[in-house]
Order: sequence, then C-alpha cells, then structure tokens
Amino acid sequence: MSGELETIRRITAWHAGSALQRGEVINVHVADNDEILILSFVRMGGESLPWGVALGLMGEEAEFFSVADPRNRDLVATSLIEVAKRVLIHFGHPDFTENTDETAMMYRHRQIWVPGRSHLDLLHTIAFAYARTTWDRPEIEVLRAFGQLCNCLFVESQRPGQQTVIVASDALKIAHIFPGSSVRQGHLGYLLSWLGRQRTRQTRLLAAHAAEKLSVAAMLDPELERGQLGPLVEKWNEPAWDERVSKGKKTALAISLVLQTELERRHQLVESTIEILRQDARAYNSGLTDLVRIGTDKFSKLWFDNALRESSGNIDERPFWPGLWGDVSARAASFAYHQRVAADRERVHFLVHGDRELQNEELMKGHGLRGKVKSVAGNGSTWTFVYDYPELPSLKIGGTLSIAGIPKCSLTIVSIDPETREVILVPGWKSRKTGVGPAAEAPSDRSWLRQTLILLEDFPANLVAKLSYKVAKQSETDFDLLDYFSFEADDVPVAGGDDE
Amino acid sequence: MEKSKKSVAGSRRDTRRRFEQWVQNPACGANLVSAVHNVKMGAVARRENPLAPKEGQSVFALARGNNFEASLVRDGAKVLLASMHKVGLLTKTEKSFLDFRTSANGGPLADLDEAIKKSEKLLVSLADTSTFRGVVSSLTLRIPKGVMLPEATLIIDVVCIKDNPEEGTGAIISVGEVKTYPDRGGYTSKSDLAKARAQMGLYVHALELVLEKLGVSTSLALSSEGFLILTYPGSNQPRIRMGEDLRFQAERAKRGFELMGESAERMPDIIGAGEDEEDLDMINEVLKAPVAFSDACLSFCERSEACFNRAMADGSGAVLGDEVERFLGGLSLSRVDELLDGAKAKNSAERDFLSQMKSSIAGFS
Repeated sequence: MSGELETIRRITAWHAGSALQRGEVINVHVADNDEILILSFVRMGGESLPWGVALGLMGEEAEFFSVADPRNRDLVATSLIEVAKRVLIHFGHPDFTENTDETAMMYRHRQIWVPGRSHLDLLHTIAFAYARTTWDRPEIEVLRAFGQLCNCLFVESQRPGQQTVIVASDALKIAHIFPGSSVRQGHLGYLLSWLGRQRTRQTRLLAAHAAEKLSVAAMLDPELERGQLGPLVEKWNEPAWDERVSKGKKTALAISLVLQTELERRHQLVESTIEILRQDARAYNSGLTDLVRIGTDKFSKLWFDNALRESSGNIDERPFWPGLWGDVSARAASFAYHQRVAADRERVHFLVHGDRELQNEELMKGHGLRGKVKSVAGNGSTWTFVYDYPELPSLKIGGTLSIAGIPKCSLTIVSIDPETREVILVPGWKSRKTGVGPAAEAPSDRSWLRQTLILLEDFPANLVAKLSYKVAKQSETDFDLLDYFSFEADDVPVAGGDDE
Repeated sequence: MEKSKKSVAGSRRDTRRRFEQWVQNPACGANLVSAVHNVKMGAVARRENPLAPKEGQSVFALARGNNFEASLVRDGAKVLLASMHKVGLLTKTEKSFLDFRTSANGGPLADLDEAIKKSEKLLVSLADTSTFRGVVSSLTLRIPKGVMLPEATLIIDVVCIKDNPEEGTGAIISVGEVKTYPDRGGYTSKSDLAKARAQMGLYVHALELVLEKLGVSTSLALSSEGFLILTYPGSNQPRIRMGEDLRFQAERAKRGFELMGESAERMPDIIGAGEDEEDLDMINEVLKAPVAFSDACLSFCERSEACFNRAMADGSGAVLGDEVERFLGGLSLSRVDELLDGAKAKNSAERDFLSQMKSSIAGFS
C-alpha cells in the first residue's frame, strides 16, 4: 500500500465516520466452512508454548484445550497431542486420514485463521519444541508431525499472496479502510467495532476503544494473570510435583474456565470476521483463484510432499523439511529475498487487474500510466499514448505494460517523452482477443482511440524467481562473495521437558 | 521547589528504563519531566484518572525472568559459562565468575552502593594487573553527575571479560543482556531485538564514561560488540547471540544523553521515588508539563488514554496516527471535516490539502 494514499484513505474514513470498503472487490480468499479451521492460542507471560488452545471448523462449535500450568512441559505435550491430531486431519496428513486411495494422496487447499499476528508466533514456537524433538514419550510422532506442519504453516504465512494462513485482522484491513492509527489496527476487536452497528463516529470510536481493552493477542492481560490466574496456579502448585495432577483437579478446572473465556472471545472474533467478509456485497477478486491454485501447489511442495515421504518410510526418499531458524546463510537469505519479491509481484499481477484501488496504488508508485491512445499507426503496430498520471513514471524503454483488466494485452515501450508526455508503444497482440470483452479489439481497431486506459507495468516475476535459484547456486569460480558471510552453527535439537 | 527529601542514592528505579522511556517520545514534555525526575508515569496517570489502566508486566513473565537469570548464575554460573564456552565467546581457561547482584536480587551484596564500589574496584584492577577472565553478573555503574540529571545508576546483566586479542595483553570487556524471550533465529521479534540492542548500546556508552572517570579508559579495552542471552524456544536453556554491533547504539545513547541533558537543563535538581505512591509535588511537575501524543505512547505510557482524549479535543491528527499528523501539517481534524464538507480553503496549506485529497487517484468526492 502506498503510504500517502493510505493516509488519504484513513482521513477519508475518519470524515465518513466509519470503516470504508477498500475498493470494489475483496482481495482475500474465504474458503468454505469445512476448509476453514479457526485456531486461537493463549500463553502464559514469559512462556513460549500455549497455555490454552481453541480450535474448530468454521460454523461448528469450538473445542478448548488447556493445562493448569504450562511450565509443566509434559502436561502441555499431552494436551497438544489432541490439538495436533485435529489440525493434522484438517490438512489431510497421510498418517491421520482414513482414506488412503490414490486421490487422497493429493493435497487439497485448506485454511487456518488466527485472530492476530502474535498467534502465528505460537506456530513457530510449537515447531521449535516438537519438529525435531528426540523426546522419548508416547505419541511423540504425533507431536513431531504437528511441529513440522506448524513450521510449514509459519513459513507459508510469510509468503506474499498466500491464502492458507489467514490473520483475521489483516484480512479485515485488506477489505476495509479504518479510521484509526496503524498501531491500533492490529487489534481485531478494535477493527470489528468500527464495522459494528453504532451510528456515529463518536459511538463507533468509543466502541472500538472499549473493545481494544480486551486482549485478543496470544498474551493474556497482565491484570487477569495477576488477579485471577496467579492465585489459582499457585494453589495448583502447592502439592508435591507428582501429586499436583491428582490433587489439583478442581483448581485445574477453574484455570481452564478462565482460559476458556479468553479463548472463546478470540475464537468468536475470528468467526465474526469471516461472517462479515462473507456478508460483504462486493465480489471476490477473480485473481484469487490463481493465488489459491499457486498456494495449493506451493504448500503441497512445502509440507504435503514431505509428509508423504516421511509417511512412506522409504530411506531413499527422505523428506526435506524447511529449517526452523529462517535464513541461516547469506545465500539462503538472498534466495528467500528474491523468492519473496517474485511472490509479491505475482500477487500484484493476479490481483491488480481486477481491483481499481490496487491499480491506483501501482500508478502512485509510478508503475504504470493513465492516459489516452492518441493515434494508432502502421495498421496497429504502433500506438502513441499520452499520459496524464503519474507525473514521473518509473518505467524503462523496452519494458512492457499491460492494459488494466486485460493482462494478456501487453505493449512494449519504445520511447517516453516526459515533456510532451507521449509514449510510443508496440502492441504485443495482432488480432481481436475473444472472450475478454469489447476492450480487447485488435490493436489496429479505431475504438482504441481516445479511450482512457490504465497501463500497468509487467513485472517479470518469473525472472526474479529464476534469479533466486541463480544466487542460491554456488559460484563456479573460486571466488564467491557470499562465502565471506558466515553463520552460527545450529544448536543440538532440544528434547521436551528439559528445563525443570 | 525544594530538594526532595528522598535520597538520590536511595532511588531504585533503573536509570536505563528512565532513559529508554524518554527516547520513546522525546517530544513530550511530561515524558521528559517524568524520566528526569524519576516520577512513575503510572502514578501520574492515576492521579489524573483513578481508573486509568495499569500497564503492569505479567507476574509469570517476571518470575520466569528471575528464575532464568538465577539459573544462569547458579553454582558459579555453571550454565552461563558452559554456554559461552560452547559458542566460543570465552575460551575454556576464561572461567572465573563474580556476582555483584544485591541481596534484593538474590545476590551476595548488601546494596547498590556496595555493588558500585566493587564494580569500580574491579574495573581499576583489570586496567592494572588483574588476571580475572570470565563473567561478571550485575556490574553496577554510576554515571558521573551531570550526564543524566540528577544521577544515573546502571546495572549490566552480564559482562564478559577476556584477553584482548588485538593488543596481546590486557583485558577487553564486552556487555551482554539477558532476555527470556525465545531466540527464533531470523524470526525473533525485531522490536524486541532493537530494544535489547539499544539497551546494550547505553551500557557501552555508560562504561566509556565510567572508565574515563576512573582514569582507565586507555588501559582497559571496551568491545563495541555485545551479546544477547536469550532462551531456546519452549525451554529454559540459554541461547547466545554474539557479534551484536553496538557502535551506533552507543553513539545513539551518547547523543540521547546530550539531548536529554539539554532539555532538562532548566529543571530543578530533584528526584522522585519512582514508586506508585509519589509526592504530590512531583506528580504536579509532570502534570503541568506539555504533552505530545504519538503512536509510540500507546506502547509504553500509562497516560496515553488521557493524552489521546486531549488530542481528540484539540483535533490533533495524531489520533489517526503519526503519518496523518505529518500529512495534515498542523491542520486540525475539525478543520479537515469542514474542508471536506465544502468549506473554502483559507490559505495555501488548506488548498494543498484539498488538492491532495481530491486528486483523481485519491478519489475523495
């Protein structure tokens, strides 16, 4: 999003006194109920594994899992085994689904929705705890599989344009413009209140600020921890270590009830988000179909194919799981950077043609032109295009543009004259493009003349993706700059229950 | 105002926190007064509004932090030294340990004065003939008066002392910071890391000042590289991140001290207790200072709600975020409403605002 444009939009929303629709289409994929698993976490202050988890398919009742004290790793692991099974089944892990015929050996697109970004961090810490664990305990393979899935989900959540891991607050911001500071817009309750039933700016603002006081992050309100949970946890810990579970049943129940209230609120906010997006009268961007298709393929390669390999137990086809620490070498970082740039441009490419707001953002960045076709010469082989926006396009001669809404109609830039604002373009298509509307006539057609068009820069996402493979490859010569960047060797994987 | 009866040396509120509090929003006068005079903003917030929410830390997180730090230095810092040897921060022969924690923090020393005395003695001896090589917990520094009004005491979590590889002789000190959040490699929270680095930069600058005060700045080397001691995710095992470049953070601290000193020059030389219960006079000093609400206030200041309401009443664009405040360039939100409702622009700033809002790309109609 362009910064200045976003500021203008925010002021416009403030003046309107409510959240405004961002554009004419929705740019986030909302899957069917049975494809959406809502997942919310709460964690104890200072701890990195969950204290409680709420999960459930959209439209179905949520299930709640919690432990009396998350500092007891054994209890956490036992509780997470049940969570793990449900999440693994949702994503169709080959070891956890009943149907094992060949059609079931394909990954089908699934989504998880979380209330906010802090919940994604829990996926990552779960991965650290279990993905590589050597802990010897019952059903450790379930936790290990869960750890790998959590890591893959976390990795996928970083890829621009992905539609598998959806942060509810981000989804709302993609669909709406809110009249509040960006710091406040991370709070899902705050955002939903701006979309509520209040009638004036003042009442909406009050509702939003009231909602903001209730935590939706994975961290609990310190006051709740101090006032309610602290004494209960202390009480639960009073008996000797090995008697706590048997003697503390009542206290554990009291703790779980407090946590359930917290989890329930987070879960319901996500449900409300999905309902609001579904009730929106706007259409979904047609480009989302492509993003879902790409996402399915990418996540299949990232997780499902590896899960299949692991499941088969064939030592010749061992899985290649993504690392936990991120990019541990300059080469890996460079590869990931180019991959992300390519993914982001791919996202823009598929969404921009169906969304005028995104087109405006691209124009504001100078990645396109808005203007009219002044003349068509040489039987349509050359166009003279006069632009009125932007003042200073950041385009290059030899680059290509495509007509907004008709991505297949591309034009090569021959010259740009900033004085007269004339651009000479060579259309890349020869005859009428069928099935794509009246605007896709042959380039020689007179109907193009004086028609206001938005031309968008074609960013070669494929070339950038290729570049990423090139940088990832070791140089053929003896000298490679990337060799001069060293990285810290990884620790030995930690087993669970080692910190008591 | 008369000098506060509370002892300067008795102040227990960490100077580092006061400095970092000021850095969060240096434009706010009340923030400056609160930081310089050691008046807790929470106490001021509740004076202003008894129902103001408390921005407390999690009790569990505090306990975990204490446990983690204690586990590092237990049994002669066995765990800490082992981790440092493992990553090569110290060699196997560099294995000594000194504990300068006060009894309030589970250490052997009576109070901060003793900790400061012992710390200074150690620094002087290291510049001389001391062969101590290893780790010091809670090295405590008092920055010379005048650097941060009215005085400044800093407690460095961990200091590592080893042979200076460049000189061939003598020792080199590097600072470390203990945090309980997990090290998640490239995904570790950037803001958490930034805060920890800023903190270590402050320590490096403070050490520079103290070494100079003690007259040993030329004979004792100070490393510009620090290290972080974090936890392994889901565990209490330490994980050390070495090679944190602190040159620019130290420079930032130096510049920050100067700016803060300049801003605080005309203030009376008094200091509060830094507690929830505070002298009314001290609270009034903060209350009468001008405020400047910004996005940053939401994350650290307990008066943010009151200041937001004040900004709302003044029509400040800051209520919609710092970028909106900058974009409006002093135009109030009530004037924004009038202009967007069709009022005629009175000056070039208003005309400029309208032209930007009504540009064909922005699309306001």
